[in-house]
Amino acid sequence: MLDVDREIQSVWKRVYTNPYSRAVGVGLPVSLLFVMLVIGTQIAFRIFYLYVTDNENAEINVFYKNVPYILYAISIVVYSKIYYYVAKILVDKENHRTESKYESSLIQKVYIFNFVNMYISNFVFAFWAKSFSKLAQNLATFLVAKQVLVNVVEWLKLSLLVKKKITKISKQYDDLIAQSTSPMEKQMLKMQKSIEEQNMMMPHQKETIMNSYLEGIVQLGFVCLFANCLTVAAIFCVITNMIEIRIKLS
Amino acid sequence: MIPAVVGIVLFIIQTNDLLSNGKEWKDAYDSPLNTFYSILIMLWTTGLVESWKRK
Repeated sequence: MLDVDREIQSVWKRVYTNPYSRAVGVGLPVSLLFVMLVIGTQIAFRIFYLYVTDNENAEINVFYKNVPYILYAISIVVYSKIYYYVAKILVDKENHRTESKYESSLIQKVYIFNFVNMYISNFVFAFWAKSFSKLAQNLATFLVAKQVLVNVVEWLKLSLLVKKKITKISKQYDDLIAQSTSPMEKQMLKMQKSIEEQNMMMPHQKETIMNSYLEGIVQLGFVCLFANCLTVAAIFCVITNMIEIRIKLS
Repeated sequence: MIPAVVGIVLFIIQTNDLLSNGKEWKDAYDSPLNTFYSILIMLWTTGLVESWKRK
């Protein structure tokens, strides 16, 4: 009897610590919850849009016509960021044996969520509303608003957090160099300054390449699935990518 | 860059149809030329994904 108990206990332990059972038992329900949240938000924005377009006041209509689209673009960015951190926690808890399995699990989760999050509104306009004009409008607003938002956040992060710190450190060391009299000490301070400046730069993140590829794949999806409705979508992607490269290089 | 360049050319033709030839929005931007653009996108995407695999 005791042996059977031990056997059951060990089987249960194996199941409990198995990455696959953790992914199915915990990761899948949490991911589905987020997908449902995205679908719920989409329905809420549709209702808001219908309420706005039904409004009899023409001036308000024109002013608020694009508000639901812009709000939806903001919600997409916010959901993506939140889910990314949740997915990382989930994958950390899945207890993967190798780095490649960890990355595969993270990529699967994040891409499937992003597929729903990014494309759902376009699929709604294409197959439910069956409106080319609305789909083109949604695509244009999304591509412009999302990319502008992402680039502004990136630029602010870079200029407010990183450059400010580097300038502060640089100023402190410049004062010290000016005060010092020995050439040897000056040389040492210059070297320390260079090291400190590099230390203040943005840390290298393991998932940077993964995020870049994910962004590229999402844009490729936009072009190959919906560019037919808005033929300038591809050039929007090229321009925004060039701006992003410039920001990152600066 | 291929879909971007072809897309701009197509967009200019469509906008010209809308403004000069007096076509309606739907007819101008949902033209027969979109079929050829779809085929181009299809071929370009396949080529891109295959070349990506090789890398």
